[in-house]
Amino acid sequence: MSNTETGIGKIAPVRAVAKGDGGNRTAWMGLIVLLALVPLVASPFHLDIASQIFIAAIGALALMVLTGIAGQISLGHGGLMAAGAFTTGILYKETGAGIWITLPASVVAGAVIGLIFGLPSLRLRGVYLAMSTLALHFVVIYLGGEYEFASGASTGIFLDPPVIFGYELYDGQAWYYALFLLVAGTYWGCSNLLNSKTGRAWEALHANETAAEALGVQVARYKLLAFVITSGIASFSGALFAYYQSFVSVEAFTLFMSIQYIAMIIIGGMGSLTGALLGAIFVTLVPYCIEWLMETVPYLGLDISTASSASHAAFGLLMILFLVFEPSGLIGIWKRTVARFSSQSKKEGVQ
Amino acid sequence: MKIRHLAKAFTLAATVAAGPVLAADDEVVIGLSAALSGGAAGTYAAPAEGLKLYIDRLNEAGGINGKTVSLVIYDDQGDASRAASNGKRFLTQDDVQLIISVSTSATFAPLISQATRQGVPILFAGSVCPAETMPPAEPLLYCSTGFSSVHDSIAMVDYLRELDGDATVGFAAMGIPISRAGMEEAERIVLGADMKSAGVEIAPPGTADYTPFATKLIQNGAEAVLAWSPWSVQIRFFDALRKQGWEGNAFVGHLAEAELEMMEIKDPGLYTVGSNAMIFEDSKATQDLVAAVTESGVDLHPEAIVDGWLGGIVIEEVLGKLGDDTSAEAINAVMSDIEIDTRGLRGGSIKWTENNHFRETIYYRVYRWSDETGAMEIARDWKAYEVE
Amino acid sequence: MQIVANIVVLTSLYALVASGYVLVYKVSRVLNLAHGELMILGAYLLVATSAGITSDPLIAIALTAVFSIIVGLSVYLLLMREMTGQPVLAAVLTTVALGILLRGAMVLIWGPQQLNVASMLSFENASVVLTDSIRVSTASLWLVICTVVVYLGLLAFLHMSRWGMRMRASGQNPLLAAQRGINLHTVYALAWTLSTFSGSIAGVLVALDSRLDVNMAVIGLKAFPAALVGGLDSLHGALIGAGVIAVLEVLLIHYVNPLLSDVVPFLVLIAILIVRPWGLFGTKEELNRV
Repeated sequence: MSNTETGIGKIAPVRAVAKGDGGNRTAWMGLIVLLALVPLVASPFHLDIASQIFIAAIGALALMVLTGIAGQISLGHGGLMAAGAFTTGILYKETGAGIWITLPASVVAGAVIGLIFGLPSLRLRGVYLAMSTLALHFVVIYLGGEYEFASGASTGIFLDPPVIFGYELYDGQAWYYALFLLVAGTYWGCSNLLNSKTGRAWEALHANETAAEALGVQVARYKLLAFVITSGIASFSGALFAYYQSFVSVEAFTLFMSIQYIAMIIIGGMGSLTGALLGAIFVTLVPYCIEWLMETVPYLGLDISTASSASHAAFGLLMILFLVFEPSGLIGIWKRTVARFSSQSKKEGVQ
Repeated sequence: MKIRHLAKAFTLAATVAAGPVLAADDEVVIGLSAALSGGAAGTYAAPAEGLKLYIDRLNEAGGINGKTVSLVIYDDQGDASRAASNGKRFLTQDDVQLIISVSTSATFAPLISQATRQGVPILFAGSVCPAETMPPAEPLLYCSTGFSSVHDSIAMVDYLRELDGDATVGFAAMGIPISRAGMEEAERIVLGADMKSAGVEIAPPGTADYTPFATKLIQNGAEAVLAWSPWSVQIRFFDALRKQGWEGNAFVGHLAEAELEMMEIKDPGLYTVGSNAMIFEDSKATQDLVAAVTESGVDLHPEAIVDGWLGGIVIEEVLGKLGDDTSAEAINAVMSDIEIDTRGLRGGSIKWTENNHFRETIYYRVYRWSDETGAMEIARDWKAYEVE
Repeated sequence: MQIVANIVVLTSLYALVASGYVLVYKVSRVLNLAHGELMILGAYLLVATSAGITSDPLIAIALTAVFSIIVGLSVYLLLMREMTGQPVLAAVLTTVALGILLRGAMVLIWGPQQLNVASMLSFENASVVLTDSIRVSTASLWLVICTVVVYLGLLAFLHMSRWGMRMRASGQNPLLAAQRGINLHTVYALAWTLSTFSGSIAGVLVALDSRLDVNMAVIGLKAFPAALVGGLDSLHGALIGAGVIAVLEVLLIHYVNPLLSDVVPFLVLIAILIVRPWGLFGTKEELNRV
């Protein structure tokens, strides 16, 4: 019963996956070199998509740690990103503060909000907790809207490109590299965290709270810590979104955004940081692929006026397919494929 | 139909770099970011199609002044992030010389922030005019549409005073900044004119039932109600008022849906105040528009595309004045000093100056349904208002 | 006094929608986050039947009821049945995905425009004068009546009929119920069908009262706090929760700031859940607490 109530532990064996992530060093290095070369060949449009993926990846990593590792469900992820974006936007607009002030301030703001909205998690679980995090979204959007209206920013808050060490971060390639480094850093930070005492405590309370408490894990402390840390990261990615897109407005942070982040961790594969990255890539690309399909396969009888609804429908369908047929997500498919190939090559080696 | 045109616009998301759309010497590349799909498409898809139709006809007729227009259309779904993406694509990949926006106010901020940095002008041709286009205007931002929350409010209150100067007026807004700003301004004008206000009711975007809002207006003694928000919201407010037996007059913004919906609602107490002509009057201008739509064979309601059509006229006139230099800078120079003949679809010309990218004089007409004739009628003909 | 009428109408709406959440949650512990979309689908089915099959409003509504039952049944048989035995969260997320799919599909089929369903059915939504100071629309009146009928019907069904007993038993202890020979799949299918049916009634009446577009699925989200405040597995709790939320919303609109009417219900929800994590009338679920 406890498993069906708190839920997600079943989807993927958390420990095994988290450890497996660190695995193949050469493959990772190769991938990093490959990614570093992308801007040399990619068009600005593709770089823009890549940058969107990077920002989504940071947010998805945060949600993966909170939900996939620590087992706390949140529907307020979009709200947290909005909080980060608005902190940065308001600070910039009101005081002209630079990125070295706005980014840390956004992280702190996110962490504080995470603390406040993490408190119900000490009493609530499962769907009840998810519903209480929904309040977070509405509160942040309400406050942001009030600020926009009060400050006369009827179309939103504009941001100039951030200046780092005298260099203005504006160019698509520069953003690509900057965000790439930040994703790598976040990934590295998260995986270190998971291998620390904190990470083990989270896994313990995810697997079984009562047992974890019996084993001496301070459940309340670690739950709140999970909310604080991941909210800080989510808020950070919201601030990056604001700088990258050069604007902040409430309309950019919808409830659908929170659902997209949940979809990222499901499709990527619960409990795996690499899964969060794969999920971010997948979910960001879906609408573009749908539009591309509508372009190249005109016989579908769909035209551009249906692009948004078609990608909505496809997105819902994909989520369902993963939940029903592939609960371990893309990372599960990947592992199976690798396992099949390696067992095949072993066989061949034997012969 | 649309797809074929868009083929140029979409590059393969999965494959290696696609080359930018390079402009030939006699070709002006214009980017159009529009809410072609998504929740707001009901309002914006038709004007965007109208604009495209106009430009297609221009090109078929051999262009303007020897120049043809290459229109790059991206769907922004009325979504801010998509609009930001579109803006980046226009500027870094398609090298457009002008951007046109036919979409929700949510998409303004990202487009403006991208385009102004690159010095590319934006024409708002289907949506509410952002405050940045009004005096003192920001450089590069222009608006040709018939509506602006503040000026519409001025015209609404003015007409209301002509009808009944003693009325207590209630205001219905939606919880988005631009709608709130308009209605709060309208309340200030009403109070300044020694009329009584029944208060501004602001419904959050996700409102399920407008009845409680309407009740409050009625109980505060509203004899007339002004509304300015997306059509679906203003009309639900109106429905909610009528459902409680309210018999006053409602004055709402003239949006793309207005004419078709009013012919269905058939309520003489519902007035639209706006600066576009309606199709029913069957003037030379509207006949031309209807003929063009019929001829094109596109499934469009002429009533819904007027703003897009006017956007096309603006492009035609701007390019007509453009010399050999077709850079964004040159286009902006032309736009900041031009008078555009609206050919009978508006009360008068659109005149832009260095300081005013909205227009110097705006003309408003009031329409309503008439029970006597069983048809739409002009409740008051064009009246000019100076824009300060 | 009109305020009281408004509260009653809004309570009925939230209660009718919340009953759908409760029915499914009560028997299977799954929170159906696609309920708002299923409700709007009911209204679109009415549009489809009235446009394609019959122009008689009453027959159209009856046919819509039949279709909504088929929809509810197929949602369970084709989708949610696959999720039995899976973690509850996975099932809940499946309903989220279903909601998104339905939303996209409805726009694909019926377009993004707002539809005037009342005029399509030539239903005149006249204002009914109850007293001098109280008027409600015909559709709202029907909404109140239908809510009362649905609640009475559901309570009678759950407490007096054999299948109602089976549903309650399966909700309380699925294992024991299965051992006693109750077919859980039938019970779950029944719950999904009833839930979609009552949701469709709400959807049809809301669409007749105002107008119809896909964004109205948001009503499902607003009825959420109602179901949770009352306790997700209690039908009369849902009724009272709906009352609490409706009173709060109408009073906020009337006396405080209408923009808070989106936010405050959720804050109240948190406050109540912190004191009583299982809602006002819900069954205490030991395992749901720390």
